[in-house]
Amino acid sequence: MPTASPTPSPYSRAARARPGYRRAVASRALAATAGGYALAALCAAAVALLSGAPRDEAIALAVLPALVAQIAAAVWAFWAASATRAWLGIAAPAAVFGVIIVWIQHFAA
Amino acid sequence: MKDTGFRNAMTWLHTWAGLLPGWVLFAIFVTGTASYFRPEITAWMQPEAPRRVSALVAGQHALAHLAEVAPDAPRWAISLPDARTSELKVFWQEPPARRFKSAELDPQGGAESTARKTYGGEFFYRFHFQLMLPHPWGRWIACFAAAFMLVALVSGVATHRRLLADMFLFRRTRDGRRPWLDFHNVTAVLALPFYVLIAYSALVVFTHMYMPWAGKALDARGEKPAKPAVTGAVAGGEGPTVDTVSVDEIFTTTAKLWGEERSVRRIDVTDRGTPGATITLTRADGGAVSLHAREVSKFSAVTGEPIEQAEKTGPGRAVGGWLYGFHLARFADPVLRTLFFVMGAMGTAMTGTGLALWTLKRREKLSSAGRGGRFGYWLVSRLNIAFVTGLPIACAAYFWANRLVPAGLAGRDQWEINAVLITWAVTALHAFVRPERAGWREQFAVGAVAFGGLPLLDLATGGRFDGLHAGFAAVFFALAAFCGLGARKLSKTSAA
Repeated sequence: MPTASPTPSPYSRAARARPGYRRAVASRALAATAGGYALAALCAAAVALLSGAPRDEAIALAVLPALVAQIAAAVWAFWAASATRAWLGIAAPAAVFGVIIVWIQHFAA
Repeated sequence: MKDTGFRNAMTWLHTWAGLLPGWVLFAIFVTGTASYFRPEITAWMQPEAPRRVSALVAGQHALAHLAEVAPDAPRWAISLPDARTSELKVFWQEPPARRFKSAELDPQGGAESTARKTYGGEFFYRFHFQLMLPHPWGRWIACFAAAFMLVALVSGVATHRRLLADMFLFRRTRDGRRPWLDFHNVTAVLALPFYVLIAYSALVVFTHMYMPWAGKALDARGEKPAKPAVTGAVAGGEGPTVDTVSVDEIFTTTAKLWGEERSVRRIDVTDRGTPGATITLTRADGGAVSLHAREVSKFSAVTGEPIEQAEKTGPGRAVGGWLYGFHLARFADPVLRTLFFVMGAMGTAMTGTGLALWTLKRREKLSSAGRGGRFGYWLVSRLNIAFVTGLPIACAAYFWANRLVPAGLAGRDQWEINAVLITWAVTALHAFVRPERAGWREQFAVGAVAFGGLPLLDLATGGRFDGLHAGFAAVFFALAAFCGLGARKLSKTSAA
């Protein structure tokens, strides 16, 4: 549960002095770039499949929310309280899109 | 203040998501802003070329030329002059070659153009998404820079507690960093929707390369791209089975129908000599924003009958086409286009001041802490000079080379580009060997002379007294004045 007390910045001088800071930032950066792009790719594929529109329209439609998802993921990766949460916050929606894709590809008519 | 942690995190993110692509973004803003006047730049760089020519006459010359040099080519394409350009280009493709051959023609006489060879405004346009790098690296880097820019915009907005109040805040103090920060904020916030749309639309434009996964998922499901049905072929019917329709006739009729103001901008003839041959005419820009709303007429080259185009509609294509059209701004009239240009210039200022802010902030820390990080400061501060003043000087060199490289020299168009590369390399070298302050001051001074001299060079080498050349002179003088102010300010105040 969020508390009213001020959250310390994960990038403050005190945080920088802690061991593992560099690794955590590198992990977040990877989550923001590779994770964000993967989320966008899955989002695009899922939306295109869900839309049921003709190919051109489905592709043009799917890229619009996918780009928003990518930027949101990148911001989230550095907003999250820890690198682990950063990854979880991206992996969870990615998994949902993945399930949608697998479902439509294999089970839907 | 329970969101302090959030704001601090966003400030940190803004710093790095802005710095890392900062130089590329600056270069894209400079060249992309210039690209709003792509045909006008070409016109400035070919002062001997005619102005405001008839698309109807030019098209008839082009068709005659193609019939002569490429009578058997299955594909023809013609790019016609319009209100903004007098360029007439013909393209043809002869298998097995996949590349199109091309020629530039004199739109009035029909012979090969005798105007000096130049890439003109095309250079800036290509640079702004290819970055003079081998394909497809420049495009990928430009796309990632756009994605970083969106992250920097979101985090930049999030750092502000009171966005609206900060928008009108400009502190005129002696405090070193404040005016820079305020200027950065004002340029950022005033045109914020423009920046968001320009970066977002850039990624939408490159969907096929940047985000091909929707298409791949559909293909995996078995929805292969639909091949357009061959039309015009009349199986076993009477009448001609190959194209016998005169392209000239169809073009002339349509051009007269559309009128000179917004005439035919492009002619495409495909599958010539086969029953599926088509003639497609595209009307000059100026109607709707969306690229998909382009007025296009397609005919069978066998029967001459118009071909009904399958309606390609849907919210995705509607939004995508609008974003693409917005990004190119070809729909815009001169006043609106100038406004786009001004917003592009503000974006250039935003990225430039953002880069400067990183060094100003870091300098405070370095002087107070006296620990590591000096290499990072040196690298960033010198790259800042090489890009923020070095690239514009290199662009000025492009215009100088346009008038100084002999008009008849073989490969002169490439020499104009070489002038950019050599000048940029020299400014970069200068930036890295000189002390920071001297580097800025000297490059500002060079910039002032380079831009200030251009209108005079123009007059001395064939420039005309007209609105186009006056407009260029105004922009060049403004850039020279800006550089001059920078040089003066840096030499007046004693060493920091």
